[in-house]
Amino acid sequence: MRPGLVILLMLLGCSSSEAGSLEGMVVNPDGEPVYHAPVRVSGVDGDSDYRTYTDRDGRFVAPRIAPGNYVVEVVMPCCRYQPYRGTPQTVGAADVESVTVELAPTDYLIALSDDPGQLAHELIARRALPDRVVGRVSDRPDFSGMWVLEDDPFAEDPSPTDEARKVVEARDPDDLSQDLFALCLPGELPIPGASTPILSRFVHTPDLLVMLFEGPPGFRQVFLDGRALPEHPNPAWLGHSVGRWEGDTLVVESTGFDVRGRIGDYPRSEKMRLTERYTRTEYGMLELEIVVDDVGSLTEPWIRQMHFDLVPQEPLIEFVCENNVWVQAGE
Amino acid sequence: MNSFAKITSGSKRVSKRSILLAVLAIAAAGFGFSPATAHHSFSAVFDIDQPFELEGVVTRVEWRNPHVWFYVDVQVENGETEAWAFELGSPNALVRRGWSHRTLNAGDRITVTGARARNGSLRGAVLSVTLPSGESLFGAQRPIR
Repeated sequence: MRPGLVILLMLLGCSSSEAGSLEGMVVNPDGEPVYHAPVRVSGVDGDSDYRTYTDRDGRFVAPRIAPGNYVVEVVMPCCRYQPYRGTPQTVGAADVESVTVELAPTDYLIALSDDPGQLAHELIARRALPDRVVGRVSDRPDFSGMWVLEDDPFAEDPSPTDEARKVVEARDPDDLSQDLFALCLPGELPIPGASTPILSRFVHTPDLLVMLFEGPPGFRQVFLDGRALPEHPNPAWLGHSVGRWEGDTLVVESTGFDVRGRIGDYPRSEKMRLTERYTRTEYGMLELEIVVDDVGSLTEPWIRQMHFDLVPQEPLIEFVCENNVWVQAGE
Repeated sequence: MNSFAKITSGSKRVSKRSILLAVLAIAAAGFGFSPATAHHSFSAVFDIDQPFELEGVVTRVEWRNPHVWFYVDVQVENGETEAWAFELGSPNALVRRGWSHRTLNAGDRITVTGARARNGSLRGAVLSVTLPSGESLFGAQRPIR
């Protein structure tokens, strides 16, 4: 849900004199401020949900919220810190509540530099954005550029059907011969990735949007020329995609997925359909709502709010997946 | 600061209490890393409860995706030599943190800390490397001592 809409919902039934706010600071175990930490402030009764990021001083604000009880959550990208969920805080009318969130170090075992989410965070922190406005392609916002993907840190898990759940329960989690990554097979949309930050070079032309990236198969193409989705598509790990514009938002529909791919941990069915909505909300950010609808595997659509951050100084680096030694060694 | 901060500045009577929240995070059930970027778990192969710190000589480096592997001859207490294999992240990630394919070379005497393979083989997931220069390179976790 877009922050602006969330704020509107919070204000309904709450006059400006009644609204409070909750602000805070996120620090690491050394007491240093954490930049770009994803923060969620949600009402304990589930009727409000505000999301933001910390600034360079580690600070965040959830402004103009109705009096009530709220929980602060911080989920950093994998894998330096543990997810954080605070105890409920009471915000009164016209109150400004302050909190300090101290992140705890991870207890998740990773090898040196095998933390793509954390590295993406570092790329964002060191980027230099030029002082430019967003260009236009055929009078639409130009999506071209080098982007790094940030997943929805607060996404709900998919809701599988009983059959899909049984497939997952039957798998041996230690059997890496069934692990798509270990087999160098593509990961999930919108951009597959695993060992590296999910970087993608978007090349936006009037009739085609090409997304180049480092993991297999290395590219996606979204046709913008008005063609329909194929009636009998050749199964593809990343499906077949067409896009249409709704104002300045690009709506991408995809079908024809190879059922060997996954939805999270769950299997896909031939009925899987993907809808993505891309909006370049500022020069350095592309927001994405992604909806996976698969009546063969899910009881309801799986919705996530992701975004891409522009990292113009970063190049793509060739990634040929060849030596997953665990699998080769029969582990 | 996010765009909404301006709305809150100095606009209302303030009743302010500073609350220092608990240090340790609570990993609530079903509240973990998003499946979309779920990564294979090293815990399936390596055991954080079997830490090691070893010194030896690099014999070979495989600078390949999705994981760099390097091999080290370690002299043990009885004078024998054990041939260990160590795993790092992707070259694409290491390069973005200042490594190159020349950071480790055959013949380098190094110290490695990490977690050993669960099956007891001479393999480990690396948490830190100390180079011949004395420089130590760490990952997200500090070395286990």
